[in-house]
Amino acid sequence: MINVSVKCQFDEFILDINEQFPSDKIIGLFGSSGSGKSKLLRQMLGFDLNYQQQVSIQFNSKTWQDKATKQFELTEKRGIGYLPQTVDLFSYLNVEDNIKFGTKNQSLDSDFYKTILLELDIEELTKKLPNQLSGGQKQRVGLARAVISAKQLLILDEPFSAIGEDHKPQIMRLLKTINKNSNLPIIFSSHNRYEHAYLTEHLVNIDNGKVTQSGAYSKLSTDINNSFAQAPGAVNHLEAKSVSFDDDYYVNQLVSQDVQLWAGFQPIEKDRQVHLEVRAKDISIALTNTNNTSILNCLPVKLVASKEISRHQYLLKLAFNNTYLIAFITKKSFIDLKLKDDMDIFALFKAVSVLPISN
Amino acid sequence: MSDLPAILLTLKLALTTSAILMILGIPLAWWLARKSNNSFANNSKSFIEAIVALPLVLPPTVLGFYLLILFSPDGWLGASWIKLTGSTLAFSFSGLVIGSLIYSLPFVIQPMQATFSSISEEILEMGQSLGLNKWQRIIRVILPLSKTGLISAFSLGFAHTLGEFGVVLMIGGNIPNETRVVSIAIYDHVETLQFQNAHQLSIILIVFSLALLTLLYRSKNNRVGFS
Repeated sequence: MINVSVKCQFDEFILDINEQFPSDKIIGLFGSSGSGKSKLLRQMLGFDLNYQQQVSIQFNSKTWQDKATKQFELTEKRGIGYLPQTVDLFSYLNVEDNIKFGTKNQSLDSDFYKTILLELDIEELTKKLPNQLSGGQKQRVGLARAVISAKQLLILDEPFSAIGEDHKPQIMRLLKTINKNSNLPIIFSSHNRYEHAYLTEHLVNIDNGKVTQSGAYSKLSTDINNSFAQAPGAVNHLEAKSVSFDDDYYVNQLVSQDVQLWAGFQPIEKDRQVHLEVRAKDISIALTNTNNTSILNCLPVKLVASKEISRHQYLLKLAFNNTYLIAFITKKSFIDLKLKDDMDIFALFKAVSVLPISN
Repeated sequence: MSDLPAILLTLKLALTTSAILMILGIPLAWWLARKSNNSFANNSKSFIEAIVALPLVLPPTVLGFYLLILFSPDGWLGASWIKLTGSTLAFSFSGLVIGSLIYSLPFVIQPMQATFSSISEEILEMGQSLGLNKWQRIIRVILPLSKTGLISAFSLGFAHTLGEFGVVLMIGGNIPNETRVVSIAIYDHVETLQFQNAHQLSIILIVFSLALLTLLYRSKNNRVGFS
């Protein structure tokens, strides 16, 4: 367990957090910019000490800081791999020396090092100096350095902000693998819901320096009484398996819980686990299984609950066997279709509105 | 060449002065560059900065005049110096070094302060998160980032001490092997109408200073590929 209890007074901003995170999971901090995500991460690193009023941070059985008893574990002894929001590379060192900066040579597993370079697509850059790199390349190098030097914890502040969509899936996959295989807890911050839908297991929603919700991601993301799920950008995720790539139509055929699905246009290898992301507002509801529309995906679901979240919109919670989806529809549709709890209905979404990430 | 001792003495003075200034200057410049910005610290910082810059604007004779009083056997510093070493400070090499330290102070402190200010708090935090303790951060982050600035601080201090005249005249006089530096020797030659010798020394000083400054600016301009 990671226990964080901090109260800090910045000029006009108060950070007041009292949270417990599971120390084996990927923890995602969500919130708009200026909500205090970075400031919370910096507290875990032992920075911004001048602003602290009351602080107690426990990492597993270790006390990192306790202001009351004046205990303080120095930042350099915490074993944290850290990627700040704006990457700071050492300008006088090449990429390789930057990445290995925090490791003593004997303690670096060369296979692991090579894998990281390969997955982050920076193996060609090792001899370059930081000023020869693009913004995205710098962030990937910074990420490699953070991953290589993390012994206890990996802290990533907006790790994908400069990384292109082409690199993002494999990097997110890499982080997931590292978390599981090396038993390394990861805390990352992002205001991008797609990133949370893929990575986050324990979600912490922060607003104006305070935690508004926290808990298991799968629960919070489908809880229609909760502001995280009620936001217009809310994203669903669905696990599926790739069946084939249709060359004629250039679309992937997948299957999820015996239902056939179509998604995306980038070919995915056969028989791969695929993580699908669909925005809640991209899901439509039909009372019957219609195939006279252009919408390719049609899931049989049960309406579990519904909530009127604004004067014109309803948010629905739908059960697709053992997974839940949420969908926004207009109040007009909700009433016209006479929707009621426990009704068997169909959830429709377009193949182009699905973002597939293969595992 | 009869002026060789003067040249060697000048080099010795410049080297000693800039070396001592580097050692004393680094902590001071770091403090000035890193001082947090609460109002009390700001006031004390501005005052110290003004003192450091004072030799830039004061006539060397003012400095020399007060140093002379301080150095005299009745003066506070002069008296304790005699107790400690048995010799006087005024008209001695040690006295020249003290005078030069003050006179060249801004030329060493200011470039160091500028270079230290350019080191971001974030890059030091990065070093810290990567496991570096205080000393390792100095060696592995601060020194490489301020290398060019430190070299230019040393060179400017050195070059400026080479050209020192007014202060030396006031507190050193013209004692061969002790206080007769190149600038004094030139003055002496001109006074005694030995223009040939004055030319020789002046040209040596011009060529040497020009070469040193060219090297300095070249290393500064090359820095582009470095940082």
